[in-house]
Amino acid sequence: MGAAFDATLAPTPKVDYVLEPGKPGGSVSFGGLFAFDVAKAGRYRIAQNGRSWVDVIVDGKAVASAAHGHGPECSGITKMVEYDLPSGRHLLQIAANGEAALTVMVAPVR
Amino acid sequence: MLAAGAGMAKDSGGSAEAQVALGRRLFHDGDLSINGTLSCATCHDPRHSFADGTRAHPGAHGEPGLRNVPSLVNVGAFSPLTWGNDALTTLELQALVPIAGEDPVEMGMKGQEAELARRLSANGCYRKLFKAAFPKARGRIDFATVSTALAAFQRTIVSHETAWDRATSGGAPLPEAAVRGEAVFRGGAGCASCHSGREFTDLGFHRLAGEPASAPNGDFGLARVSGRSEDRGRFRTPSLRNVALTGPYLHDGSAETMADAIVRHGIALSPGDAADVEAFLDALTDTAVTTDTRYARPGKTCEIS
Repeated sequence: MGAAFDATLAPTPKVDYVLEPGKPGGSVSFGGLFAFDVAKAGRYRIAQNGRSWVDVIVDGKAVASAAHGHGPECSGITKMVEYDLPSGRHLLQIAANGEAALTVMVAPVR
Repeated sequence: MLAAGAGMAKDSGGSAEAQVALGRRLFHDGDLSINGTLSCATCHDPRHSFADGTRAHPGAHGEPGLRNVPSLVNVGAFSPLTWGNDALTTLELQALVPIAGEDPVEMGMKGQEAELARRLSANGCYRKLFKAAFPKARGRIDFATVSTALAAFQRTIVSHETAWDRATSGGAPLPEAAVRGEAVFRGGAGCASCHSGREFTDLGFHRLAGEPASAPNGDFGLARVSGRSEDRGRFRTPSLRNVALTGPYLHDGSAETMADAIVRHGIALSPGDAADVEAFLDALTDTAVTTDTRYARPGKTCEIS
């Protein structure tokens, strides 16, 4: 939480998604599932250096995004999506990425 | 430049139903892009009336997009088909532009016809669907059969269930503001001189009054393909069906709202008339087409057993 991490994604056909992603990508794309903990309910931002499709799953259901946009120029952040989340352990589902490597950050929106 | 007739797969023995089912599956398949990240539906999202809500969608590797994604509602009635190319007269021809075009790169599949066939033929459902759709070609998988199936599916995306359609066919009348707006639209504002007919487009190429010959993104419009200086800044009139769902607007998506787009047409409307025209444009909305299951991504169960 609050720090970027380098994710290694799996080929899409090998990913067993909890929910069908909004945009699942083709057989040659990459995806993955990651758990993250929210200590305090509030708005959180998922930032990445790719353009993968992101779903946040709480209690088995995809949370509707609250906002989305690009990162600052030259920041390397190409996509940001925000969600209003309760506290607890949630799932970040990533789909339709063009490469196995993806840098992702989950951070509270202040 | 695509050769005349490219992308046309004539196979009169094929099942039209199978071509549509195949086209729908292909439309939603990311394997039509080089790295699996983009399907046709990524940009032509049914939930956005087959547009995507951004100014211009980047290509598969993040290449900058050039033009705003047009809606595909009633696209089977249109020819020519795109913002700036009067030679793209059929959906079969047009499909190859995003798939294999380079100006700009979108799905990035130029030279990848064999790779596309490899990916799709690995899927048993596709093998069955291609055989049913193109029996004379023995289910061949190539750019021509793919684009023909995509065209067959796109021709099924039809929407004439708006408040305006109902009112003009004797149903419930439009709200008063929309009635006034239609009068302005068809009268003094002159909108209907280009946004004409049942689909609200004359399919012609025009340059808006006050707009530059070269847009800020460097797009010369029709002149990009014609080479004629008089075609600079000329873009094809878009249909206005579901316009309320397909912002941002204009060829480069530079008008964020319908009000912005109206102003960019160089038409001086009073605030009241502008609001009325927007009320009329809202009456061209059919939300049912955005949730119609016939256009949604198909499930894993194959259409052919």
